[in-house]
Amino acid sequence: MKKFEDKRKKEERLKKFLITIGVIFTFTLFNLWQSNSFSQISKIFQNPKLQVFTIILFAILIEGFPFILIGSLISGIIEVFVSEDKFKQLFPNNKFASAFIGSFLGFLFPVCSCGEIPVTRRLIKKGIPPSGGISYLLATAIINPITLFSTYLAFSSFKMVWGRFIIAFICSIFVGILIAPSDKKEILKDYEEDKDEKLPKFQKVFTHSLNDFLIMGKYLIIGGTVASLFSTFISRDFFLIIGRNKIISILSMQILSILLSLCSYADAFVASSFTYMSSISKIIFMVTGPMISISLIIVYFAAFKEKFVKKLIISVFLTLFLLGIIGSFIGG
Amino acid sequence: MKVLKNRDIYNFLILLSYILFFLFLSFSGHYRIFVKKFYFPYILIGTLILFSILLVTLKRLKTFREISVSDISSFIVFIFPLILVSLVRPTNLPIYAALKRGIQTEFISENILKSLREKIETEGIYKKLNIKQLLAFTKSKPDEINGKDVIVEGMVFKEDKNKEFTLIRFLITCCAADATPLGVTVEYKEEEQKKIDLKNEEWVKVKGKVKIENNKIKIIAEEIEKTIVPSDPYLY
Repeated sequence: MKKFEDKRKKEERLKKFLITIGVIFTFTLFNLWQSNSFSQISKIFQNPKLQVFTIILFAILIEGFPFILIGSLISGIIEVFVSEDKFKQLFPNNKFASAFIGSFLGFLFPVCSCGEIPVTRRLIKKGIPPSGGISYLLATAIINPITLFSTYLAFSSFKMVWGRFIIAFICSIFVGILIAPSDKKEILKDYEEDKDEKLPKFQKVFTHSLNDFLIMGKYLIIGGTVASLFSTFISRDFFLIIGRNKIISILSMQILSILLSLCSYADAFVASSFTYMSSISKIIFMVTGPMISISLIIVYFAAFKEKFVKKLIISVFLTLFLLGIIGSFIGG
Repeated sequence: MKVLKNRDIYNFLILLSYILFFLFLSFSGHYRIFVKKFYFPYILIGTLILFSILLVTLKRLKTFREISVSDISSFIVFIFPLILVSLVRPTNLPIYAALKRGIQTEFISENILKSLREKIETEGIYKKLNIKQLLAFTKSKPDEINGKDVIVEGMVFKEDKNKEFTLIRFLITCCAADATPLGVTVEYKEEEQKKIDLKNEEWVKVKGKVKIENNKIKIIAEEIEKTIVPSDPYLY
């Protein structure tokens, strides 16, 4: 009891401290603005590295926020209006069949990588088999009409479109079956949700959306910040040069796609500019990023349990690496 | 002080600041510094959802729910990018990004050539082409462009004080994170060098003749004029 009381007091002190700092910071900013001192300080902010960092961070956020909001809204609607039985009818209990259906849901809900996380969380919470949820999470950003069409536009080649589709499909189903636990509690992170039963249904939808947005949005900002730092300071040429060897090229393309955190609609155009890379390494680049990019990994940690996320990252990375090697011997 | 301890006040402030920020981006057109026009409806849909959530939060302001340390940390994380962007005020990707990503001097696109043949804008004897179109012609139909008089705009990248510089534009598919720098070499005469002092990052309009040698394009400049950053600095 004393321990709990001490913890509460500590938190209280920290809260007071943070609020005071916040108030001082706001007044300082206001004061600077009033005294026109911003123009002098602004020279520091004209630094090209800071400009690039800010532009990339906001590119990721402006692209990601609408999809997180759409995903949060869908998640809220599912929570309030769709019963568990409906999902149990749609998804069979068999691990394989459920993973198979999950990997094709992207055709029905073509949500971008950021938007699918709150939806997956809610779907698993509502009782769909975990293997279906995981394969949906991994495949949606790739196996959807928009991404496949953009891949065709970038390469003007059906071989690349099929290659991307098949590898994403195999990986999502395999990982879905491999790491799915029998109990959903092993996947979902517990977080506090407002449960005000008296609220009208539509208000409940937006209350759930707010919770999802605040959690996923916060981690998208953190992930976007990390990805922008990498994107600002890491030279792409470095990865392209070390990737001349068949096996190392697959590995280097995987790492590059994780660090760059590109949108799945756009990464094909970036991949097509890697002229000296083999086709299979370009495909692996286009599958790894939408599944486990750095910004996504950080949001995964917000939505799912740590142990599960670690398993997910390792199994996706290794599966794609192996598929890349097999592909390079077949004809990449 | 009790107001500052209400968690819904912080949620309300986060939502309100992002709504105002997205509205500012949408109506000023500044969103195009970061993402392609394709995202405009998504920004509006996002703003609409935020606004609906804001209304529900507004209703809940009357009931007091005490803030936790985690709520304060969320507030700081959400406000950080907004403070950053208001201080940095970015305009377009600088040359630094082009150097880090590697300047592309080749580009293949048959679609561009098809649409271009139907309509090429002209200014006197000069054909108005952008860097992407010039590189696409050079790769696929060099004979159609070699020796032609063209006008092209871009950012200057000058490595040293020689008679050449690279004209750069960023090509965007979705957003600035995937921007690929495209470049063509411009050669300019000594008289022109004396007349105009070019610095990196400056935007210029070059009038000149196309010269293709060993599948590489070069523009022999006849006139170089400094110009302002276009309202849309990227190519798509």
